[in-house]
Amino acid sequence: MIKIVNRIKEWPGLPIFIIVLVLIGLNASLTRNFLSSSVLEGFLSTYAPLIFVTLAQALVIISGGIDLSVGGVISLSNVTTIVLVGAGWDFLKIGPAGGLYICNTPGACQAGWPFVTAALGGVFAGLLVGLINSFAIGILRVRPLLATLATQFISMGMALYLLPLPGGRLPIEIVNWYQRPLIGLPIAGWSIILIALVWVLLMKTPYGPHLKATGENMQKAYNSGVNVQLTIFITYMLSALIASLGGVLLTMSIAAGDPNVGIAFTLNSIAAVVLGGVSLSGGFGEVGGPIFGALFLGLIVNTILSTRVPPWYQWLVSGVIIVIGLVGSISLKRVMKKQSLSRTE
Amino acid sequence: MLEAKNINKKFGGVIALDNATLNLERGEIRALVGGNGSGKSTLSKILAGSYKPDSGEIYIDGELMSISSPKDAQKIGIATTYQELSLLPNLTVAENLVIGNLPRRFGLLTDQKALHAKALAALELIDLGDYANQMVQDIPLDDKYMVELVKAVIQEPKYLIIDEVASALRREQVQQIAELVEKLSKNNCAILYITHRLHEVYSICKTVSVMRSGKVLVTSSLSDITPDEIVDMMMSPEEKSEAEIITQKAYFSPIPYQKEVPRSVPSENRPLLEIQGLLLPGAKEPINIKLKQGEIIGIAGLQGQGQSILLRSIFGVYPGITAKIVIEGKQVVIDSPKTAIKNGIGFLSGDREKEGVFPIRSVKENLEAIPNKFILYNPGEGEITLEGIIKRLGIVFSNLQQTIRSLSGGNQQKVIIGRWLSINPKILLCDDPTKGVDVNARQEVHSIFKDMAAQKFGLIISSSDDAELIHVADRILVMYGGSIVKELTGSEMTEQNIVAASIPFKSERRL
Repeated sequence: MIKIVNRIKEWPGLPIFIIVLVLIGLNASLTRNFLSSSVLEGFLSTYAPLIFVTLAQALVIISGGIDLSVGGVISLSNVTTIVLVGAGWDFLKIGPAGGLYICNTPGACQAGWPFVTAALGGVFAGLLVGLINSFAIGILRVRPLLATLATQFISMGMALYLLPLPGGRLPIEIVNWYQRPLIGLPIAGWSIILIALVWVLLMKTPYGPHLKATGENMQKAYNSGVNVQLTIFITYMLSALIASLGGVLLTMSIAAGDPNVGIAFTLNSIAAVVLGGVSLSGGFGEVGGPIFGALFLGLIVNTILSTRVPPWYQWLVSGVIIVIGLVGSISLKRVMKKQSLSRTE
Repeated sequence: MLEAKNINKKFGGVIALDNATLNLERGEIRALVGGNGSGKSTLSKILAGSYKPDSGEIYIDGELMSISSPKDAQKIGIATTYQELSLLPNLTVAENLVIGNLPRRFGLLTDQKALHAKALAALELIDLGDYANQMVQDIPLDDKYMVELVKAVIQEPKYLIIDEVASALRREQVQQIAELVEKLSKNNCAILYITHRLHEVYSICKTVSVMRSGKVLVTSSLSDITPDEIVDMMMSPEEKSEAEIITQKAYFSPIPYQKEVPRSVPSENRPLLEIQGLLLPGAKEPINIKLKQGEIIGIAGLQGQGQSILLRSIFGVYPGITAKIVIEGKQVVIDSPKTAIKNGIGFLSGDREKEGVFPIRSVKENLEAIPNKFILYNPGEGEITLEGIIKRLGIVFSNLQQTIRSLSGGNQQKVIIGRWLSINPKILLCDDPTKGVDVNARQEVHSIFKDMAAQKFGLIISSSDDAELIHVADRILVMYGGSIVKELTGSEMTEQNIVAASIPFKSERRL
């Protein structure tokens, strides 16, 4: 029992967890029915993509790098999925840019793929971006910041090329399925649990220690017989994979394609990881903190919307809340550290 | 049998290995000795797959091998310890031991049970089984070196390279290593033991290879060669003036540091630094120290008795630990390294990687790391000062712009000393200043210290090497449990007295 308490006390995600609880309490008192199942379902469906991207980003940050391309990957996976659902292979025939608009004319496109196949196509497109990252950073040793900045542009550009303006649509069954509760939780909720489990299992394979070793000190990891190049390669592939899965979830959530939809995800995911107690210098990190970091960012938006802050103040207010959250989590950490120090003395 | 033939390696313009050739038989315990930058570490890193040679071949049992990564080396049975440690502080000891070869379950997951069983069995060899589940960052430095050795041994190597692992260790631990090495050798493992301490060579090894300027000069059985002869070969002909040879030989003999007549500090010298009532965490009694101009105080004791916290708290690293500090008659407040430096205090750490060098920056930048009016505003004159310092310290390098990590440990340490000299401090605190520094450079560092004392600097030097303290210090304070338990002066300064005072319950009976 004491062991469990100590483990919770040492959990780096504890400060953000407490802050999330406070925000939930605040929201519950501000918004009627906030804790009702339908509101929670909506909330989870909206923020599942961010949680996915955050967990992708967490892997990269533990490896000592950073992935600026996750936002682009989300856009690309979203747009590709929508285009394939609408036009299938026809998007090649009609010419990529604007293909979907032609398809909007009844009867122009009959060859649309079923959603699952289209989603696989979207994930595949995201993985191509991951492959460039992995190759540049893992093999050619380009700095992650530069490599992923470039692939961010590439993926954003590709998304814009495929679908210059927001548009397209998903079959309504898919949208309903995504939001329908299944044994108490919406699909979005289950997918969060699933990805968290996969993440934890991943850390229990040799990849886990290799990832942390690489993030801590590449030279020492290499000298210890860790295949550093392979570890980095896998990390950026995994990041792209998880981010594009997030893109698929996002597609089901917004039921349309939007080439700019991913932009905010890059910095939000980095913020969520850091809020979750993962150090940007690499080597450390676990699953819970980043998830709560992402929930925190979602709750802020929720709070602002429910308190009807005028739109022109929304950025300002959310920025201030984030700063308060960061300062709060750091001071909470300090207080807890002091307590544990005085306990040992 | 392992044969390394005509290995060449250059770093930039500096030749690290020059047709080095080394043969190693299974079951042999070979010492590899040599001065600063003689190529020992480079050769061992090439054998370990950490560096690639520019040319040359490595044969195992007559078969040509290509070793292009540490993993390759592990596969063919070459394991190595790293002087700078290859342990990852953010993983557990058990994970560290087998990270290069994690056991699997269901083909995918790490087999935690097998991992622990394997790690535990290996740790029991050196009685450190309790550490298996601890994070490496939480264990003491000397035990980290032991774990580093276990990490190599656990690979069941046929050829084991031990690179300078014992320099931070206590006597019992060195004894443990000696026993472990003996055992491995009986199991037909070859050991290449790299060290800067000749007494370890004679107590642990059977044969010796001497390196100088990138070449392996001689390989001989230790029964056929005297320590004098080894030292002789380590030095290049131009280094040997006759007088020097005599002092060096005395200095390097297996009973290291021949006792000199202790220097006496003139009693009229003014007190430089007075520390009153410094209470370390967990200590029973506060510490009071008076340091005179031109005096060198040695701090001795078992590892982790508060020596390093003492020096760092004088230097303002721990603002929570307060004391009355008087410098040249004026009471000062030191609450950060910055104020310490302002008051003329410098701090030289043996933990270069963590507290000394900026590894990827140039020698020049490392020398100028402390914001200094003189150098910042007078670049022209600053250069002259730097050159003066470099000459005075005898730092060996090819140009000021090369990165500091391309220098050997001893030269890096001299650069850090130079950094402090450039701000002209009155007091230099040194925490194990010659850790991982070879014999030649160690002696040079010592003579720099004495030179500084002669110019009225005051020095406080903590060291795990008692003989070193006896050699350089005017008096020695022995610490135990965060307090000073004994002061030794003049002829009282002997290794026996230090050891006796280090373990107080014994000393009460004996003294």
